[in-house]
Amino acid sequence: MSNKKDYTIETVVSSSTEWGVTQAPFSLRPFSGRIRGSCVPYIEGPRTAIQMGLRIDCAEIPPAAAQTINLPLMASASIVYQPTASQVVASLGTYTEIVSASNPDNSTPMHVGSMYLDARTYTTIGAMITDIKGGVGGSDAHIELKRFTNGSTLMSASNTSTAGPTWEYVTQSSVVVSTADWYDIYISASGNPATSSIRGIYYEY
Amino acid sequence: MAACSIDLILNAEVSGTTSTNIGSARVVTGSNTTISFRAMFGPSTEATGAIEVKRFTGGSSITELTASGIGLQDISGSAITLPGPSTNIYNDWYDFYASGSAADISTLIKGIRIILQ
Repeated sequence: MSNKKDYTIETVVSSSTEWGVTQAPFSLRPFSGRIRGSCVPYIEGPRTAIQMGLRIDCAEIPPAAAQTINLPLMASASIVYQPTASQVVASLGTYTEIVSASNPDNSTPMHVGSMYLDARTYTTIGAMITDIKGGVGGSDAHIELKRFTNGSTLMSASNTSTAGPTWEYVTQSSVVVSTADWYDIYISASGNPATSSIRGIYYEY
Repeated sequence: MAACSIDLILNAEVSGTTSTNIGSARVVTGSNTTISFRAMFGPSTEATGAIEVKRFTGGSSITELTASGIGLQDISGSAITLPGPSTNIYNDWYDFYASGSAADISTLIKGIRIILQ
């Protein structure tokens, strides 16, 4: 029930007398008269709302202040969708590529490919390398990444246990690429004779 | 890790029947539950070419793709179940070996796709 003046009933009467707190009947008078006070509910029975202490302030109730509303549930007859917090998982960016090449030129580095690196810190950059000379190896094998634009070394790593030959995944951690650019992959060996060889490259960030 | 694929571009040729390493790729399987391999390869003459995938650690054979006939073919292998989410024990380098069914043929390999799901 509203507390607005929506229960006021006015009538043109020639003569009326309002019966005090009595809500009905009322007397007709030569002016419009209200059959009861406003802002009170109409109560059926011999007692008025005022008598029953139900008069309330006519001031409108202001709308509720802004509130923080929880996300509503979307529900159908049988399914209730309840919003839940999602776990944020850091994504791992990885890249790998086959680089199958061998450098028989001992300690002279050979360019075996290039890759474009964005400017960021790479958790790991590594490669699978060894020395395959004579099918037995034995010399240290190296990989080096050099920036194409100025030849500066970005990272290097070595396999120092190539006898067998033994392939090894060699890495450098926390490699910071300050400028996005092409980076050239070089392989070489320490000994002579030696044939450095690479099978693949990998990085993650 | 969400389902993804890794494409490896190759231009390799292996002569004869000797299984020859044509390259390696490091795969982070993460929480994926299956891995499968697909390749574009084939023998230069009427024969059978094969690509075998081995884990670098331990050298165990993972799968083998074969292409019979002449020329390049798109060959897909079946999905291989990984140990399960969060184990990550299959994070490793995978070595690819190619060979042919006869001594006088060449097996051509142009590309390999690794699918993680």
